[in-house]
Formats: sequence, structure tokens, C-alpha cells
Amino acid sequence: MATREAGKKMIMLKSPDGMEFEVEEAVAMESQTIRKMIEDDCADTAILIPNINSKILSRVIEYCNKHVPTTGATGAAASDTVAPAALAEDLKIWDAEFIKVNRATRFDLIQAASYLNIKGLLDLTSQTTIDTISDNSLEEIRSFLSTKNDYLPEEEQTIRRENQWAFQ
Amino acid sequence: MPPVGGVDDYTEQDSPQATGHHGCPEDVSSSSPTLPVIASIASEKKKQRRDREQQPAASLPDDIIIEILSRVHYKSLCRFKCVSKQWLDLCSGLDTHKRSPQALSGLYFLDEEHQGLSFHGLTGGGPRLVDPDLSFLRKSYESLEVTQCSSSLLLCMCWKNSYSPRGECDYVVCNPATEKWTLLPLIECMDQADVERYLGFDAVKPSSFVVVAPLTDIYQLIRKVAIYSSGTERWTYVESGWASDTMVGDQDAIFLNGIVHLTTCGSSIVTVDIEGKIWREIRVPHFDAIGLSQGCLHAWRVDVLNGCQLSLWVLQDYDSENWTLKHTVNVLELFGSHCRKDHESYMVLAIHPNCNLIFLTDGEMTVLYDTDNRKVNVISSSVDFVGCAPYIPCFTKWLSDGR
Repeated sequence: MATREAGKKMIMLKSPDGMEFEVEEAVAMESQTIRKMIEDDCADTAILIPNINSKILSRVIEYCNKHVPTTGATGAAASDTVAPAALAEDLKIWDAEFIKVNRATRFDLIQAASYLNIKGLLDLTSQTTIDTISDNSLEEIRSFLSTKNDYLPEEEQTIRRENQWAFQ
Repeated sequence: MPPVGGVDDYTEQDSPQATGHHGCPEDVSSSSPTLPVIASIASEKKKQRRDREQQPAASLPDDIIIEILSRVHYKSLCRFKCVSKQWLDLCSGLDTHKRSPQALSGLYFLDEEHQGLSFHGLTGGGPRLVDPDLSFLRKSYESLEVTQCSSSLLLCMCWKNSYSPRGECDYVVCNPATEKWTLLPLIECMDQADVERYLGFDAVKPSSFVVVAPLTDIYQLIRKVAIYSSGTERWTYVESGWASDTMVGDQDAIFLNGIVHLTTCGSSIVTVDIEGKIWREIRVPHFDAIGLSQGCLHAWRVDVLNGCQLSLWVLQDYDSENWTLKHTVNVLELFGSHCRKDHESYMVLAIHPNCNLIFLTDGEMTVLYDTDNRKVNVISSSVDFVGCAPYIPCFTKWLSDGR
């Protein structure tokens, strides 16, 4: 296993398009899927992340890098002086900036977060999507999520009537 | 699992922000997912790629849509059923799933701008499933005020007409998740509005609730206690078994193992069972307030005069009065202050019912503090959640089904 910087364990992540990312083990272990592989000793040299291309994987790593707990000497002197509350507030602002991406990228991020089992990222991406669609009309939701309306007109009328209260 | 990101992503010129470098593509080519190519639609696909922002992206797989929908408020879920047959199936599946016990979905707190309690959803902290505006009650009442939140149920004062005198209200217990409600009968007393009603709900036995109302004489001494249970659907009146000078505090009741707990103005908790037979007083160390977490009574105090030390005690052995000091922390450190300024009022707002989490405020910012790993999470930096109670949706119907 590759090691670097004062004995910090490094892990190599590979995307299917041939890119390699060297990350600290602690960062990679923000993903419960990868954590399990490491703990089960299935991750000797490099881990191939199928299904997640390099563009999305690099964003995911960026997120994990930011969210990895700074206990230990990682953050050096900075973490001693900054209050946890301020740190959390700063993280919230960072998250809001991070998720300002186009729809396709956001969908890719949700799927990557789900596959890699990164709870924080899954919460962030899913909630942002909900916030986007909750005030939209049915037609807008269908178009946003590329879902086809497969109701017959009379079926749609019935289901609309049953749930009329939810439209008020 | 299908590939994340279309093939066209690979050709985009965005350079990855992490320190990526090219490895050997041969290593991975064998395991790359292969995409079926259908000649007749290939040119169509190309056209779509040209302006992918305008064109719908590939639709999300069902498990991801479920992941997203599981965070949706119940009302939106019903609306989403109308999107398509596929969504109807997914939403209906969630419907039944959500009848099991839920995670914390928000806080009811005293809102300065409105009368009574208002709801604040905790995004990312669990699914938001219910209509916090209680529109189902507003069909019967023009005006209403939420006065208490006991885990999953609310006690409300409701007026048929918005011009009705304040004293002429109905007292209603409602469940915002099932949208069911029960009208409490009048209490036999001189003045309905003069009686304090305390709602008790135990998430372990979600099919019932209790309301207790201490009845005082002209000297403000508690003579009788009226007890309403959802099982009997009526008030029973019993002679008070508490010390004659007991003064009940203004904290909400805690209902645990069939026993109602109320704080007093002294350093104690008074209890009574729902039949009004067993009366008890439990001594508590100097405390600000009590709460229920993981089936145990907790008491806490922030010692403002003494360096803002927070102490949290737990009553693990219910029959004894031995409170165990469970956790201490300096609140100033959590908020990054060196000393308390005059305008700052550090206090514990509530305790999480299922986890070792505490809601804390400095008067401006509200945070969730994890006593296990001593981590802090900001909930809001602007809203002051004074008098807040954690709200957990519960989809179980209580025995007398209300309306």
C-alpha cells in the first residue's frame, strides 16, 4: 500500500475511464462502501470504482476531503482555534456552493453517493433535488426527472381527484 | 447498477479538481460497463447530446427516486402520486413503509411572530412527511394555536371563528402525520381557560395518549387532578396525592411507562399514573429542565455563573432517585467564545428522543451537539428556537380513532 506524509495511509481510487486518484485512507473511508472493502482487506493496492467516471469521482473526493473529520493532526493548528459551531457553519456554506451544479451532474452525484454510501452527500444531493421540485407543477417534475406520464387521461383524472387535497 | 453519467461525460473537457493522472486504461476496459448500441436511435442520441441541458437527462433508477422521495413531506408525496404510474407505485410503497416509527423531522418552537408554536423542519436530518400548517384542522376551525408538542402529537387551542373570544376555544389533540384529531371534552371547573392542560404521549405505546390538568382552589393549591386518556375518552377526577404545596412548573409533561411526569417549581418531578392511583415525587439535582431520551428521564443545567458548564444527568434506575452525571461540557467552547457576553443566553433547548444529541443555543445560533463524539452541527444561525420540542411523525392511529 502506498504511504506518504508522516505515515498517513494512502489509497488509490480508479475510475473506469482510466483516471487514478491518490487519497488519504481517512478520506476514502467517508464512503461506507470503500470503508467496508478496506476493513475486509479487499483493498491492497488500488480500488476500481466501477460506474463512476473521473469527472464525478473527483467531485466526490472533493466532498469527502472537505467533510473528513479534522481530529488528529490533519488540520494542523487551524482546528485548535476554530470553534466546532463555526466549523459546521462554514461547512454548510461550502456545501451550498458545492451543490451549485447542473442537473445532470447532480443526478450523477446522487447515484455516486448512493453507490459509495456517503450519507452526507446523499442527504445533500437528495434534499437539493426535493427543494427544486417540491413547488413545481406535475409537468415540470416530469420534465425535470425525465419521467413519462403513462396515465390514461381518465386514470389521471381519478388519481388527481383522490389526491386533490395535496394540490391546495 | 447502470453507469453513472452518460458516455458523453468522458469527452467533456472539465479537468478533475483532484490530483488525478492517467493510469493504464487497459486495466479497466474489461470491467467497464458496456452500453447497448441501437443503430436506429444512435443519430437521435447524438442530437440529444448537443444540448443536454435542454434535453432531459437519463432518468434515475427506482432506488434513487425512492431515496429522494423518502425525504418528502407527506402532502407532496400524495401530489407526486399523480406524476406517473411508476411514481404511484414508488410513493405508495413509501406510504406503508412510513407507518413504522420515524426519525426526528423537526422542531416545534415558540415563534415570536406568531401565536403559539411554529414548525421548523430539519433538512437532511430525516424525511419531512407531514403538513406542519395543520390544514386538515383549519377546515373545521378558522383560527388555531399549537400550545404543546409531545413527541408526535400536538395540543391545540382552536376557535370556530377568528372573532371568538380567546376563552371560548376547543382543546384538540391532533396527529399531524395521520391528520386525525380528537376534541377534548370540557373540564368540570369554573373557568376552562384557567386550567393548564398537559399532553403526554409515549412513542413506545403510540396507540394512546393522556392529558392531565391539575385543578387548583382559590389559594392556588392543587386539590384535584383531571386525567383524560384516549382509551376512556373522558376526564376522571381524582384527589391529588402530591404534597399540598406542590406548584407545577411550565415545562411540558413527559409520559413514560404509563406514568405522567410534571416538573415542579422546586427541585423535583411529580408523577401520577393514568388511573390516578400512584402518586410520587422524584428529587432531581439542580436542574433547568427535564427531557426524555432513549426511554430514560434526563435532567440538565447550564451553570451560567460558573463558566457555562453544561451538566446532563440520567435516571437509569427509575425506582431509585440516583441520578447519574452522564456528560459535562463547557458550552462557551462549543460556540467559540472565551467569556459570556451580556446579550448571550446559553441554554439547552431540548434533548433528542432517540440519540445522544442535545439542542443548544447561545440566543442567536442553534446547534445540535453530539455528546458521543463532541461534534457540533448548526441547525440555524438566525432562528431562536425558544421552548422547542422535537417532533417525530408517527403514523399509528390511536385507539379511539378521532375524526
